[in-house]
Amino acid sequence: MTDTSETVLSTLEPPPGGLAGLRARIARDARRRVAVRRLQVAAVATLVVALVTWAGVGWRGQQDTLPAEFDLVRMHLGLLDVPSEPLTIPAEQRIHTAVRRVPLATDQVVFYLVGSIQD
Amino acid sequence: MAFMREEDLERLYARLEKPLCNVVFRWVWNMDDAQDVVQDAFVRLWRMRDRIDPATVEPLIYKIALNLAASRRRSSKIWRWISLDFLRETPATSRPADESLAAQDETARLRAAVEALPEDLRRVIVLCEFSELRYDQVAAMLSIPSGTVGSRRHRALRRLRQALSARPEGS
Repeated sequence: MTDTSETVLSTLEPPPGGLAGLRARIARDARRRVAVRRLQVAAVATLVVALVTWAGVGWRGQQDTLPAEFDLVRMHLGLLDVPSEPLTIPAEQRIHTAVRRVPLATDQVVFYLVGSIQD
Repeated sequence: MAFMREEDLERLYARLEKPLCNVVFRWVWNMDDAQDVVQDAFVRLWRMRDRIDPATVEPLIYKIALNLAASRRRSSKIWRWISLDFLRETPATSRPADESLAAQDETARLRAAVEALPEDLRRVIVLCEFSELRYDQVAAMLSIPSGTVGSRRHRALRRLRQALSARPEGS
């Protein structure tokens, strides 16, 4: 080293406690990384649960809840007769008639299952 | 290659803390900040302990520390510019409170001389003077030939001499 560099670049002492500071920092870093890892695992688990739930709901949502005689696709294809008129049950027959509303996804259309219980 | 245990890291830190702090100090000009950068570099080294080659760990830690120091220097400059601190502050160094004004002036002039060096010269002169790395290690670290290390060091010293010889009378 030359005189000039000795003058310009004098060696300085670092502040005391460096090693203890490093130990504390490594411990803090390890804790932080564990916390981050747990967060990542929780996020992935939440995502998986959300996907599974969504897939389950979506799959069930595609199920046809109508009985076979109200198969809308078949009706549209002409394979099944479409109920043409609103059904009126005469008063004397009402005691022998069972009516059950068929649940649909829309309120615009209402279906009823009508059957005789005379037999 | 999991050679590094915690005690290895601590031994390395004990050996390199002073030279590393002195290298980093020439970027951040504050010994507390320099130590902070050095510790940060060791934490990063610890994170990558499983894939470290023992033969190159020293140049590696210098490289990490220098990159962190340069990054901190950049962000510090940007922050000073954003907050307009440069309009009202005096150069920040870690001088003892009882240091004389003349010594402060001298320190500021030396700092200005080092600051005036181009980045490539400064890296070479600071690493050569403080890092305890050999020329070939410095060369490998900076990705330059060994001969270039010598020539840059020579040019840096010449510029520093010129800067010091231009000091005002009576100082």
